[in-house]
Amino acid sequence: MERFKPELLPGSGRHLIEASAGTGKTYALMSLMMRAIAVDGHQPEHCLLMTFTRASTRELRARVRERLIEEIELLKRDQSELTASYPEFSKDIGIDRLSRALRQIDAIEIQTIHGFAIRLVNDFGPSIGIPSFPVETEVGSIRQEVAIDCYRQLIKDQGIQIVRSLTGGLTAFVSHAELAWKPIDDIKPSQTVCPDLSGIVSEFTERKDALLADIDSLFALKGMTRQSLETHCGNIEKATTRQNIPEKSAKYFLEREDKFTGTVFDHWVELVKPSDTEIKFRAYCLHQLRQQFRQRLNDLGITDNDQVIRDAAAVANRLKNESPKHTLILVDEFQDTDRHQWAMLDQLYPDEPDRLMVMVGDPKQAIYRFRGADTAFYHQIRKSLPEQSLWYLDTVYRSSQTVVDGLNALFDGDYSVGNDLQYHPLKAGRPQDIPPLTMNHREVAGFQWIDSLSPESVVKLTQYLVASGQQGSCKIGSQPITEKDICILVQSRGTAQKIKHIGERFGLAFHYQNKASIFSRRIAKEMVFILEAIANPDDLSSVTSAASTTLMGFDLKIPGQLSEQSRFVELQTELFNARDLWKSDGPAVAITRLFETCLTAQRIPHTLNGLEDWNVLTHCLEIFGEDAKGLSPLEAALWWSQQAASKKDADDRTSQRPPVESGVVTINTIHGSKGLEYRVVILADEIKGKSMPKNTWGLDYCDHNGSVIDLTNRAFEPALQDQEQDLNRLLYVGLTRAKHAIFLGFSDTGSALHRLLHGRDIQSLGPDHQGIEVPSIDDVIDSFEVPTASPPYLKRPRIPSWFFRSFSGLIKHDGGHDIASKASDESYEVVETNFNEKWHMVPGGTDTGNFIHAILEWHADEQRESFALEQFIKSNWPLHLDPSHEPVVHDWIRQILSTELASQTTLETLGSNKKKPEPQFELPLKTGLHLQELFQACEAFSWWNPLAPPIDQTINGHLIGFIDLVFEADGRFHIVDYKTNHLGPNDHAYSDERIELAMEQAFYPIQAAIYSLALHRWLKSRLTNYDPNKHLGDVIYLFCRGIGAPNRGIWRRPIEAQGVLALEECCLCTQ
Amino acid sequence: MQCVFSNDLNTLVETVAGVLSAESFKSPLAPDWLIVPNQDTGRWLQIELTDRLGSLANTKVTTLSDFVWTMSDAQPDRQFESSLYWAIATVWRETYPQLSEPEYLQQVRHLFEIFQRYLTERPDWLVHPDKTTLPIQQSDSWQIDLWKAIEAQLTAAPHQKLMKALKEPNSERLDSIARIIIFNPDRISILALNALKTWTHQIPCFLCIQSPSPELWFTQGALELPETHPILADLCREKAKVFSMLSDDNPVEGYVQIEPKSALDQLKLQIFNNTNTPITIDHSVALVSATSPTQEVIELKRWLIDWLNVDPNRNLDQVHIVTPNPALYGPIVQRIFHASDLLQRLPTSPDPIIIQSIEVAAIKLLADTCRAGFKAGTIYTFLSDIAVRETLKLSDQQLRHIRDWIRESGARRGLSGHRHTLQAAKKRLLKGLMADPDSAFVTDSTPTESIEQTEGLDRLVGVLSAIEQILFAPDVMGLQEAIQLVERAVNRLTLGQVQSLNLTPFITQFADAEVSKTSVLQWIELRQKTGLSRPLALNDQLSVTAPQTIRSIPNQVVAILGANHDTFPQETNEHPWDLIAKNPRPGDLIESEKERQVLADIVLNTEDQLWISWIGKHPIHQTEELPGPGIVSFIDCFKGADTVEPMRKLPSGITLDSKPLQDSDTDSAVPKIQHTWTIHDFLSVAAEPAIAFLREKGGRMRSPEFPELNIEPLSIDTLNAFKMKQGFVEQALTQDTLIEFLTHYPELPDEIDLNEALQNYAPSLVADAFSISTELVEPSELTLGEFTLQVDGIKTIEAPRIVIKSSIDGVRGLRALLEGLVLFAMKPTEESFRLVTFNNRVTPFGPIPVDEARQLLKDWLEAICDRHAPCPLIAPLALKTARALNKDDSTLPWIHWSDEALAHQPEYQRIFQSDPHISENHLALTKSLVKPLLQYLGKSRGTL
Repeated sequence: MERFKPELLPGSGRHLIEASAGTGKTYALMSLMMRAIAVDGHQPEHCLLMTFTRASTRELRARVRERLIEEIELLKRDQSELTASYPEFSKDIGIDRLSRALRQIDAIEIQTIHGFAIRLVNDFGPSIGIPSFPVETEVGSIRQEVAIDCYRQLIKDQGIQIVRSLTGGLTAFVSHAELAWKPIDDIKPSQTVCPDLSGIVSEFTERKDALLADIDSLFALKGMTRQSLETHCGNIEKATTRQNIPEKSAKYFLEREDKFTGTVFDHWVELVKPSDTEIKFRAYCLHQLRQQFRQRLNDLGITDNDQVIRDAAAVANRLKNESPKHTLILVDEFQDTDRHQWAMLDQLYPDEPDRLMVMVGDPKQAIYRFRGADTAFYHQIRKSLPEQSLWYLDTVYRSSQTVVDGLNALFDGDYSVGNDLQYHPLKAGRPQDIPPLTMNHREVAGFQWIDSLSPESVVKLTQYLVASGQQGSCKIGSQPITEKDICILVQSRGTAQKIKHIGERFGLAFHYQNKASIFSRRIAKEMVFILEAIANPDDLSSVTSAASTTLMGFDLKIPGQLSEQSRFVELQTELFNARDLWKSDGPAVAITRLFETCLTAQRIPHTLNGLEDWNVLTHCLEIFGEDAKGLSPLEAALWWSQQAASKKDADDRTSQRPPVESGVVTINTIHGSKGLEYRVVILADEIKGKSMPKNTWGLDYCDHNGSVIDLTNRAFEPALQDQEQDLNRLLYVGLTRAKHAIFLGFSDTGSALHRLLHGRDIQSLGPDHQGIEVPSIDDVIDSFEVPTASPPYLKRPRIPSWFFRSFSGLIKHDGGHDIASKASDESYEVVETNFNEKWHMVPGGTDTGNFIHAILEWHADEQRESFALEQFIKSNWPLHLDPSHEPVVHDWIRQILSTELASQTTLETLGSNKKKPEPQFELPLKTGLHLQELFQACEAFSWWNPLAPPIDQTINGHLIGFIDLVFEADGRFHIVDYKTNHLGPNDHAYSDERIELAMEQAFYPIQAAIYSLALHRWLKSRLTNYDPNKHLGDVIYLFCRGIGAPNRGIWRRPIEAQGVLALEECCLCTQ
Repeated sequence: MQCVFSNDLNTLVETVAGVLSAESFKSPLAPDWLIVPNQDTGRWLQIELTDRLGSLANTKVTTLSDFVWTMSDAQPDRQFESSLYWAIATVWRETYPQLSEPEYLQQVRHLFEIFQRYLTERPDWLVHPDKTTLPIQQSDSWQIDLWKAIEAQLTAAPHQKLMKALKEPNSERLDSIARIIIFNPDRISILALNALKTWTHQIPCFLCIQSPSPELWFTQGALELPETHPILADLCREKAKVFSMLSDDNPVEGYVQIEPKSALDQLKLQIFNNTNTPITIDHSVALVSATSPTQEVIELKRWLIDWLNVDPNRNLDQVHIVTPNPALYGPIVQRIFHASDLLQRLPTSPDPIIIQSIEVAAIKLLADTCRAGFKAGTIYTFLSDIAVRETLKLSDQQLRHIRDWIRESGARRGLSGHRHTLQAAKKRLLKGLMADPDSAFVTDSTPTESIEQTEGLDRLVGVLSAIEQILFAPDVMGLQEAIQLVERAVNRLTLGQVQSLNLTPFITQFADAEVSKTSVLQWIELRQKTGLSRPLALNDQLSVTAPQTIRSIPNQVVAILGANHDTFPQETNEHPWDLIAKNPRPGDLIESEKERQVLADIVLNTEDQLWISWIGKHPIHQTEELPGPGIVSFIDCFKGADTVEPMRKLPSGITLDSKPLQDSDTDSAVPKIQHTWTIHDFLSVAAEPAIAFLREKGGRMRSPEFPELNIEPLSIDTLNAFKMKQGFVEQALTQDTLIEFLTHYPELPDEIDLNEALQNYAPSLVADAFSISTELVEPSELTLGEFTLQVDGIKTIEAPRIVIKSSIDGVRGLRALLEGLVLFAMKPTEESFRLVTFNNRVTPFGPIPVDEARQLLKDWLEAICDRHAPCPLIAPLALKTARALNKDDSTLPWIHWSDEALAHQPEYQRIFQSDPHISENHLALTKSLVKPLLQYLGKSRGTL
């Protein structure tokens, strides 16, 4: 094994670099990449950089970019190490290659191992018969379903009695099933068929009877109370199966197992332990669970994170010539790689002369055992590589000399971080660049040991450090220490909470990134009441509940019921408003408005807690806005309460973000601190293992061969040993986060730190360890100041006033922002009576209107054959109409088509070059025009009957619309508009008078005028020698249902030049 | 075809206006065709032209591909799409009968999409499917056979029609067009270019393209040269391909020289000249690295307001906000920009409300059910869909009831014949079991109404029947039959409002094919595909849209939000079977390149100021993150000679309002002393003062329960266990009645072991405690100074009190102790009062001498008597605190609101969280009121 230097590494082959914490692992990776691109000429698209988290992929890409820019600069200035290390290397070629890589930086593949696997399955899977189903990360409920079904199946196959007694019932079974979901393949023993359970009861009875027959030899054993022994034996005698034995009796025997080894007691211990058949049955259950789970995922057409890696390995195995062409493969955090992931890489990238694969990892930092990670696998790979492919990095660039030396002294014992992995001393890389911590002008040692590091003393210590920093007596180099420099590392969340709360008492602000989702915060839960109240503003109880939340800020000190307060009515009104706003403008506006009227933002207390609450609330609203689109208030309340009730840990999206950057001390868990560094670390927890679970079917651990789920009675010892090693690694990670100093406490027996000390005292650890007392201080530190900001103000308000209006938008009361929607022709439905005949009985409504319009538009679009009409009607028949109306509609359309619109002109006979269906128009209105003025200008038409606008308002913007049809006959251009309004049950209802009335009621004459104006402008722009008197024809409203009436349902008026010119003059912008 | 090039969009618009105002030789009825890259650009162009020309009419605005299809009259219709789907589905099933259903469906879907793409992009391949004409590898040649098999089953051949139209144009159609203007297309496929070239001999046709630079930057290989400006090289690759295809023609050049007034202009000028020197950033470019989306928007608002404040003529119609994630940023912008104070408000356009039709919702429900089995949650989601609620006329209250009915009827996933199945649930609902007053849905707000009287029940039963129909039908059946089945189900789901989906005409030739239910539903779902787009607000309201919408629109101010690394430009996935991806041609659609091009266009077309922001910090690790790759190139252009960092990094978090609300006067409330108490009143107020106080106010803080409808209960969860214990105590259940209780309680899982339940929920000691029958105390009145306590309706001291928990350290224990205290205060006794907990322990309490008990009781009453002020005793912690005091009198326990004991009692936090002295007050009260009780509390033991 050799110390790693990029220039020593061969240009191909597989290599493993063991890089201790802070030794510049990423730097080494980057150097390798620079060399590979600049010197060896690897193409950017052939480089693959693989790591474990999405966050680090993004960080790595930034680092690659930085290094590329830096390296190009260095090369230009002839300062690059590349030129020094590789004499034959041409600088210009190097600059060229690196510049190209910089330009194509996104071609360099930087992936998480899962991302890579998903890509691999997507890109190659379907072609070789491996489906690429979407990855589902939340499979908890599916697992529960599978467990229930599996239990049911077992009952069906084996009978309820036996299954219940072996599993302890459904609830117990589902909790035991947790073992099956661990990402560990090896189950000890392995059992794919159900063992014969028939003899299990009789076997127990026989063994029990045999022992009871010779019970006296048990009683003869010395060293226990006869009375309790009798009680427990009595309990066993009563039991019909092993599961019937009361737990305390089983415990009684198991606890004394070691004390009486080699005596008759052993047989009794054996009796209370699970039998071989029982263990086999458990193994069989786990096997079934796994199989059924796979099957279920497959049935649902989804996959999960574990399966996708296996699939990718299978894909890699089957690919031959098509596999990705990467020539440089760098794997970061290699200690976290498992067998399947390695299988994928191994198959995909065989050891070939033109390929370089470098794995970088630190087995001491493998801290994901709790997720079932396989820590032995790293070692196996390490062993499989030849000695010349193994490298190490041992120069720490992160920490000061005293921290590094202290670390070496502390770990210089019998310390194991994994099977066959020992600690090697480290060197400090830049001692001159990392100044030590000074207190009262004296340098302090790297490790500061404190008697009893209770949460109180951690807070006091922090307070002391911050106060000394503020006074200038505690410094790093010349910089006084601030809150930002300190990080408190904890193992358990409980400690973090305690420290945070005690900090409050001392006026110190601590920020702890809770693992819980932001929706579980109280302030988020209060939103449920508010949404409920928006959903039911008329429900007094809902409104009162909302009023009692802090968000709505009712004063509880005012006597009497909340509903008696004057603000209550106001709140209720606001809730009604919110419900309306929700419908019209969406939830965001509704909630904002409510918060505003209730002064929610101003009510937030100006403390760190208040700030955190406010940040959490806005964050929740972000997610709500995105996810809860289209929900009604009631649904939203349900959505929100489900989020609030969810017990799941937060993900990247629902994790609390730090609400502030400075003035607060960070608390972090050791797991969360991996990959990060802090100037001063206070290790506030003793690193202790959890007690091993009782009532379990088995334990999982990692031994020399890898991870295993052990169901046998011998699982405890190896599991305990594995846990100890895991804690050692955790401790290592915690202690290597510090740059300048670490504060830590003496610990109890049973903690990892205690074991590490191995009986040594502080003095024996050398000068880099020092014992201190937490100094008590009287100085008051400057307390945390909440960042505030005042809202920005406009000099002039912005009120929207510019709209596009169609005719219907124009006559609507609110004059709102209508974008090119058609006028709804029909507002009421047909009441079917006996008088109805022919098309009169076709139900009305907007849909029918649209259908008729669509047919006529289609027909006018081109020359159509008569059989095509029938076909068109058939295939476009709308859902709301009964198919029995089909022939009627067909007849109806035929009638319309044959109606004479101009002399000897029908829709049917018009050539397609003489008509234009649905031409669109757009007209710019004069600024500040009133609707009233538009109506008045229409009076220039001779046929105009005075009509008052529904509301007078300014109409700024453009008028837009579609005319149903424009046609040319005898050199004049005419407008046709189809109306399917229902005026009565038969033809008599479509007299001229009725049509005139209907026209006026619906303000159609104004539509006719606007269409005429549009036609005028259109012809003016397109027709050479246009003369309105010569070219404008009629405007025709065709009431389709009246087609059988004597007037053929037609309302016809001439488009008079004086009319359109007056309108144009009055209303339109003229450029 | 005439090409017009300019770097300036306004020049191009002017060109279009010029073309349109020129004389046309065709009839006015012949439309001008305006071909635009997207609808929003089209809309904007129409407005511009209307303003410039005074009106705009008979101009057909469309996209290039639409134009090609319309002119060739080959547009595949729904009929064709259906037969394509079914042809693929049937052929694929025959070829691979062993495929599992999800895999089969996925593959059919992919094939359908791929062949649809071939139809539009590579009809030439489909016309001659031959290994010699196709650039195809051996491993992909199965697609040829597949296509041949599919083609044999198709009735129409749009690909043939299109290819024919390219050779023999439809002159009649083309004659009907006056002029064609193609406005700044984002891509031109070879197919479209050929079509344009062949079809436009007789028609005036103008191709207006924005080119960032008059240099020949797009010639082969030029992009690779180091001297190409990085923005050209990085972001304009697609545009280069378009240009290289056109380069043979003689273009009209309308380049406009740029005046470098600002940094942004300098950049444009550099791109124009294809030179690259460092630029110092100024106000025209804002590059902001934020820590959260809300923070981005808050900062943007400030920035916009500053911009508007500079000049009163500036308007919001000159501002566009775009983001690759409008769904996230849309609501945030609405929230932050909205303010009732007009001087703080920037008007936004309303959020487009997504309403899908009831058929879509119904099909989705059926498809989900078919895929994942029966789940009650999906039914509820269906019923609460806006369209469904409107159609079925369901009120909020009815929906709330339906949610309860679903839960109480036990409508859950389950095996056939299982108690919790669909059928059983339906039966229960039909029998009206839910109307049982005992288990009736008691919500605070509604009068209890029998469900037979509400129409909500019909709706729910209708949905259950429809689901049942689908679930119980065989998996494979004739297509016609399957369609009828789905139509019947939809009919039922919509209570007859949707009569028919009118699908039969589309499947005539496949009517008898044996198909799976799921494939039918997939087909219907594919037909229903509706695009959700956010239109660009082109008036003076702000909208948040995707960047593509403004790509060919000149803007005064543009803000790009959320330009994060992995969202802009987004990664794209090509399917391995997609031969187009394997053999691309210039002008093919490449999603990620499209986004780069959009960015380049935005940079070129922004006239005044450009804002780009992204999330520059990992939310948890707090490590720095870069924006998207294109953005990084853009930022690099501003790394000027001086060392000013071009981007602004915002500190973490959202700040608080600078003006906090002052707390109202604390002493305003006049005490309202309650002198007369009933025993029950006393117990509830004393044991839970905060809850009683809030109740007095008319409020409640317990969240409404919304159970997860999809999950089968597995065990008796904590809450249900408590309910059971309570039921056990309140209904005085015996072992026999407990069994009945359990079977009538559908909240509990079917597999529950009754014996186990009996052991857990009816421990022997508690059962014994019930059997000790005792009398009630004589009604009497206790006078304690100014207070009167009316004692009535409580059991005598002999009756053991059952605390429904495993320990007495809690509110219930405290309540029991207080009950004991009252009894001891009534008359002297030597007997002690016994508390029985659910883990079979008995704790003796007392006896307390009468005088002492009375004094203590009086103290209690004094502490709680002011009904206008809550008693600051944190009851759930009282006994715990008292025990701590017992051990060490100087202890100073601190109230942590996150304490487990307070988790389910948010009232205390609500009332006291801002009280700085709460810990001290609580401690003092505990010392004087609770600690004295504790000294009479004996050691617990296991017998009565």
